Amino acid sequence: MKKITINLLLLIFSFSFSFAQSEDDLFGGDDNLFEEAEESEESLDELLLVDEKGIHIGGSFNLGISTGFAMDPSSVASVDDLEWDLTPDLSASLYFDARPSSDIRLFGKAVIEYPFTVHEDDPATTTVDETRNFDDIIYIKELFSDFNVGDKLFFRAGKQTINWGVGYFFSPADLLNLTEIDPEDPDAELEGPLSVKMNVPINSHNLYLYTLLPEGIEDPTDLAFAPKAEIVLGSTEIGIGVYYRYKQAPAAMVTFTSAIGDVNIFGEAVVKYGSDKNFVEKNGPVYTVETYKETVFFNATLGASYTWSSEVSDFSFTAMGQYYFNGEGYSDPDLIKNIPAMELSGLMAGGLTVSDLMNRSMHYGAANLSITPVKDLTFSVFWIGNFTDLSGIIKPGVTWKATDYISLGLNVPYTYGNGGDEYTPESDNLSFALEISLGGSSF
Amino acid sequence: MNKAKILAISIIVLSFSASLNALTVSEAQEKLSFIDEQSNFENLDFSAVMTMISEDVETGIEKNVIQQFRRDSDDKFLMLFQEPAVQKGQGYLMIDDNLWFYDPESRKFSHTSMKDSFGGSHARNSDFGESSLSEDYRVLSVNEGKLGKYEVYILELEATNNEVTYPSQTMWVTKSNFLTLKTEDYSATGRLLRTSLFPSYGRVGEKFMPTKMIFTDELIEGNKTQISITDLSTRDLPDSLFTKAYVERVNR
Repeated sequence: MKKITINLLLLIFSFSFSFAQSEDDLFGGDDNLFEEAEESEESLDELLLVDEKGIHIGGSFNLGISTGFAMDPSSVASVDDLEWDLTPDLSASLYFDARPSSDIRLFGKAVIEYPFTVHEDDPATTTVDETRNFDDIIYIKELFSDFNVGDKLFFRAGKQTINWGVGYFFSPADLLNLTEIDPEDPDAELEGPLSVKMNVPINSHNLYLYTLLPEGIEDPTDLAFAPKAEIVLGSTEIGIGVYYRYKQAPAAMVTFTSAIGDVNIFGEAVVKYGSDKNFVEKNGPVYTVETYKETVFFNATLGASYTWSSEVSDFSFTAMGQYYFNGEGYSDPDLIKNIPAMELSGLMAGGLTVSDLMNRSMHYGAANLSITPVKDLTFSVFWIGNFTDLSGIIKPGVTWKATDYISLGLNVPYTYGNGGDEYTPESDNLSFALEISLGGSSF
Repeated sequence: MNKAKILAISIIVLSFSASLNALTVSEAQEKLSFIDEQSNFENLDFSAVMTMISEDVETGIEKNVIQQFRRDSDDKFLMLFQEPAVQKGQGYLMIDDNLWFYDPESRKFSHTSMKDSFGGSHARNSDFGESSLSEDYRVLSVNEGKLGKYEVYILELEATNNEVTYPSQTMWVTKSNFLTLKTEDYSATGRLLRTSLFPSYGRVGEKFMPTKMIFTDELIEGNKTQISITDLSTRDLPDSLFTKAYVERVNR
């Protein structure tokens, strides 16, 4: 360790010496401008695929503490009425990466999340949300093996995140991952299924075949298959894929990413024959749960992003927006809003789930604007909205990276809409959250 | 021979030799092709290790180590971050007109621009691909001068398209072998944005590769990036290297 540190210091010292040299020093000395290069005997591409130590251990650590309050602007009379809370957020990931030879690689990543206690599900004192199992504390995020046949056909087998859609806030084409994009945290890694990916690159194009092994699989008919082609035409990349699982709604999708000038654009279109969702129907005063297995549904999204960086300072801004047409939504979202509580309990008992009540509208939008006036300071405004019931969230915020290991964030999200709307089940709501992140790092 | 005659003959000889060395604008334009040719590995693959030290007045000194792979004949390159740990696995893959950035955290590929800053340094993505000066710039003027001990041509260039990172450039190239020693990069308004120095080259066959590059940010005094290139190799690289699959395999 000491030797490595000394070498690094010497290296930085030698570079600092070069930085300090004038043009006359650099070009006026006795050194020749060029020398015959001694070609490396090692294959760098091979070296990257093997690890002399056999295995590499790494991971990340994050500690965040947030404090704030949420209030109904119409009912809070004074500051004393505000109820402050404080929430710690501690998590770490740990991975191993074993590369015994250039032909194979084994990788696994586990995540540990605070609190490290399991709550008993006591209906008398807790709600379902407070129930916490062991696999909420420690869980396997990824566990897979990479290998290939003849350096032409590449496999990734195991539990893995899958790149299927191209949407940023919404991705209806992502039919394979177990978790959906959280529009408020769109860069977060998604959890993928147990699957076998086969990939054949053909110049800049790629062919894929995913074979998915859903949880609880019992026989070959439970397998799902998803072939996909990624085709590059000029500066546009087009993805075409199909998802098929016996007795489930088959789907086909098309994605594209491209650019018009400096504006990046992306889009997805999905056609499903049948939906795996349960729908609420109202016939007169009676509510029922229905499924549609032989109806064609169409979902699509279109988005764009633009980044501008000043050439004369650290100023930059990024704007991103996306529209989502949800063909599995209700043309009249008031249908859900107006279900009486007693009726809803009955529908839930009849098979309706909480996820069936999400994304109830057919039209959504999301956008984010971030401005960095100086290095390490960013102002942002995030918005997501339901265009049908006109509810949504607008979240202005600011983050400041004070040092490499300390950052502060302040967010003031306002949830607007009428009681019973998608984003305002009770009423509109104003929150304040101050967050501090300490010691976050990767190793 | 009197002094006047000697002086006259000397002037004629010097003028003649100067005219031999002088370069017209159209000849300089042709030399841009020569500069491209001698720095591009048209029939060879190229790989190297880049050590990048960035000195920032606000954040101090940062070290990056990057593996670089190029196949100029197919317009492909791949850059993979090895250090620091927080960037390990990040990669830039270029195939034809498409440049993807790979983020190992989200496991996503995203399109990015050649104009973007490379890994937050003072270098640009466009600094590492195939040289295309003759396509992207036209020579406006040629002057002669000296940089250190080297006789140089000083070329003023103007961009021919808006795809390039800098709208205009001034280049100092050696008269003897047209190696670029220095460039100044300007904005559309003529403001000096960056100065780049190339004090040493490695020769691989008939090709020249800068083995040391110093990029100075002219807008914020003290911000600099130095890149040293080692472990040069022109051995054949597998086709599978310039694929998303390879980028996914090598990352953590």
